[in-house]
Amino acid sequence: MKPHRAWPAALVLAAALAAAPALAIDQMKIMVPAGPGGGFDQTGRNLGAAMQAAGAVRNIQYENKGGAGGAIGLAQFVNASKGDPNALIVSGMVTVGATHLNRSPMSLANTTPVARLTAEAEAIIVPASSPIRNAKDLLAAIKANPGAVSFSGGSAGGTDHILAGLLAKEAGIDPGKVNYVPFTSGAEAVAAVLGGQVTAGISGIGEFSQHIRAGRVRALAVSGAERVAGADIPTLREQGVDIELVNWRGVFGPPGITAEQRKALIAAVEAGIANAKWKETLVKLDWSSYVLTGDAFSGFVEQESKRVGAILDSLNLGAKK
Amino acid sequence: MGGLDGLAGGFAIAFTAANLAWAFVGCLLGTAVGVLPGVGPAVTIALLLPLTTQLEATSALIMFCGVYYGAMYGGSTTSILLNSPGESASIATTLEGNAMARRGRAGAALATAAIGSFVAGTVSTVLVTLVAPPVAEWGLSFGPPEKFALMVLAFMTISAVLGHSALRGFASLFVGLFIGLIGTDVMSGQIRFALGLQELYDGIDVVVVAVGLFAVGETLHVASHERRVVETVERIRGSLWMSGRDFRRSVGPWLRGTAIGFPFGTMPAGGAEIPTFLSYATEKRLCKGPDRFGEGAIEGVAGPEAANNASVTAALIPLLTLGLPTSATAAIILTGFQQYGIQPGPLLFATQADLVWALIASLYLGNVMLLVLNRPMAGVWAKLLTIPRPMLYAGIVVFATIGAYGMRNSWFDLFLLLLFGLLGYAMKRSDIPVAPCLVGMILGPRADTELRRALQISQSDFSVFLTRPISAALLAFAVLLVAAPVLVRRHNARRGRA
Amino acid sequence: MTPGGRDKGAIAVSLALVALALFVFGQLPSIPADGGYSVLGPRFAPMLVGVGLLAVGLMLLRQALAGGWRAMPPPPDEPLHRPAFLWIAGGMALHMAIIGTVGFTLASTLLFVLVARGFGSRRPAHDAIVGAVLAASVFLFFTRILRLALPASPLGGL
Repeated sequence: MKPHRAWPAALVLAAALAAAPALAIDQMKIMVPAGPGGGFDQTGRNLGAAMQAAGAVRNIQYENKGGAGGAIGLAQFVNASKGDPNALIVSGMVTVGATHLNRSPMSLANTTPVARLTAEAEAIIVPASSPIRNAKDLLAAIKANPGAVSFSGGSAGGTDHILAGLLAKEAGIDPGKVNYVPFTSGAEAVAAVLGGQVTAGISGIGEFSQHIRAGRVRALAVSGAERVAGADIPTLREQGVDIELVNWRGVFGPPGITAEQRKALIAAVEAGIANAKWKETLVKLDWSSYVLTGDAFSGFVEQESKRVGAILDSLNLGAKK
Repeated sequence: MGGLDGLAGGFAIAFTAANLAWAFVGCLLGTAVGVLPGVGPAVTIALLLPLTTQLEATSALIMFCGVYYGAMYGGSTTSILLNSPGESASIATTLEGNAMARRGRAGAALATAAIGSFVAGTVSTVLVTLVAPPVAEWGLSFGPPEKFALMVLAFMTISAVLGHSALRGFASLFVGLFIGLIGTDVMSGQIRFALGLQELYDGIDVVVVAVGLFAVGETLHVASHERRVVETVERIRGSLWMSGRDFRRSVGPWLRGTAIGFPFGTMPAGGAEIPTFLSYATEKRLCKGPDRFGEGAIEGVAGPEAANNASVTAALIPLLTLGLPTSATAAIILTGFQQYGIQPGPLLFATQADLVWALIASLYLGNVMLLVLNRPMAGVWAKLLTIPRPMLYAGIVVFATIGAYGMRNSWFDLFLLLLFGLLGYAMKRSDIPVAPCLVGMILGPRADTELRRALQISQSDFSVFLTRPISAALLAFAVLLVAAPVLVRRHNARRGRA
Repeated sequence: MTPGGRDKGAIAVSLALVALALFVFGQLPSIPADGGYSVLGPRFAPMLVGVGLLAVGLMLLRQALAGGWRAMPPPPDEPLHRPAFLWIAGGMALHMAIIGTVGFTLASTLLFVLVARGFGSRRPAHDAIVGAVLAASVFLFFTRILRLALPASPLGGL
């Protein structure tokens, strides 16, 4: 580009920068503690793009560090970004469980919670021909013979397994006695239900919705506080089963930042989620917004860690090194 | 959705400018790596996996399949012009193809290889179109016992059938099974053999193992044991096309090659090597003047090349419908699907109908592209063979390290890469086949999981493996495969004494 | 290569398999055997693999001691060229050690030069230029187009 041509562009840029909030962050680092392409990665990159679109952040560098349910990336983030006011890590329910199960030296307690962003409710399904009609029937069946009621779902100790454990507990059975059959992906868990290999399946509703609509399987309940838009499935609470559990994701800052710096991070994230770009993302990826920021979010994380820890300990997953 | 409706929709998606472009890039890249020695489609797709962060799933998978396919076309060029196969499935082609080139018939050999690949690829794609949806439907009835039995069968075929010695095949298999066990056990969440290293909690990445065993192992071997090998690239002399007589002699081998290759591709036996040799042997037997075999018989190029492509295409059936990879490359493509959170399996045709059909449609298009590319660009591909070896292998090693390092920026993965490179070298030196190791690593933990899943669902009733007909049949077949050679030998020995 | 040398290799590989089997057995006690509703727990498959490794290792060892492995293809006539092997393996080890500090481009360029040297190249300057161009293009492709992080040099940028 020739110099005289560059001037108008520079003016436009300057104007754009002037219009941005005064607190705009120049260079931000977002750690994604998972491989490229997954839910954490999409959350991080889409939030980043929305914050940039809102003018809250100018440049963002993403780092993918997958492994051990997010524990490896978390450990590196806590160590390397300590006190860095411009760093965020994506995390969520999955990591709460993984760090507890692996007895990881680092947990989300080592971070500074910034904002909860999204949630996905769990759904419980049975084959279309199953005699089980609702959540109460399911609890009765578990109570009668826990070994005969097999559940398919995601990884051992993951959100799906936790929900199965909570169901057993509600039925008055030791959660360790639940016959939970883990699969490596939601799709395989659905196939096990469709093929009649297991009694029921548990997974994020997104994995099931297509099969529910097609009538191949019957949904018994969703696990959130409210029904999921577009799906006419009662919640567990509505059916008198006192369980609420969602798979949430959010962003966290490093340890050792000041209250001011935390506020700035929250402001940047809030600007991002107010932007149209983030709303488009929610629609496109079928995520529900589940926003909570600052101290309220810290309290939520603490509570959730306690609850998840307690149920995991009762799931009979064996002693870990 | 019926096969033909689906396919029509698939063509609509595959025909968009972007997808056509990605298919083209894949075919081009695939042919190039097929031509180059030392790097194959598995390694190339592994190195392309980071692209999944930017590309849409359909485009990326179309490109990966283009690479997969293109490599098979490219491999034949190397076999014919250079007396050394570009990848293992082209070994059979080397025998007659290079002899033809030395006699100034390189053009005809390249042509029959390309057209044979096209015929076999297209016929097989038609078969995939027709067969895959019903197989997927049937695949739903595959529960844990059937899957376990299928994997046991895969272990037996790949170890006992490939290579010179079943014992060394099993050595490779067990090493692979061990590697596969490292990391978190799906069923219990327990971590096995990680020695407390968090980097190992998710197991060892198949990309690191494949790139290490194949690319790095091969590089070490070539550098330290093949220094004196002088490679002469045969010039493409004479006609670039086949004569009418060549054509008539090729048609039979093309069709027979397709018929041999296709069923092998659908079986979990690890790649296209066996059907290419079978096809070679068949053509040699059928050839009216068998003396011409060894001096450049066109049938010996046409058959194996068709078998190769048919089996490569057929491998998509178990991959797409059961999520079962039958070769190293298929395993890496499976990883590509998983990058997008898509799990190939019986439900893929229901949940990702657009993607699957676009992929299948792109196979038809890819075959046409490759046929067209192959002829005018034969000279360019031949040029690739003249890249000096130091530059070629230095580039391969640099790309191998990027593939290992790029995904999570950990030096630990580079360490594993070197470790598996040394292992690959040692295996090559000891004539231990690599494929059983890779298949064992990928399917081993899944077999373990399916076995325990089956028992957990049945509450430890072992009879499920025998009362379910498919499972029982598969297991019986696996036992037969190992027992038959022993029984035959014993029988012969007794007769010999009598 | 003498036939004796080849046997040594076969014996070493057989012993390595046996050693791996012993390692597997050594780790077994730390893996729980309980599988809940399945009688077979997480310890079962490792046990099976250990037994398999031991059996295969011992059978190969017997063959190796009795004059060599059976059904081997004829040995290649070129003996090991040790310097070539060390240039490449050493180059990779060095690359892994320095990539975090000197950055991706420099480490990869050096690796390129060392591997080329292993293949007998005597033009380090030429190789360095080719390697640097290759590494820099990959670096830019990863960081600018794919937006994936690779370690930059201490001076920033490439």
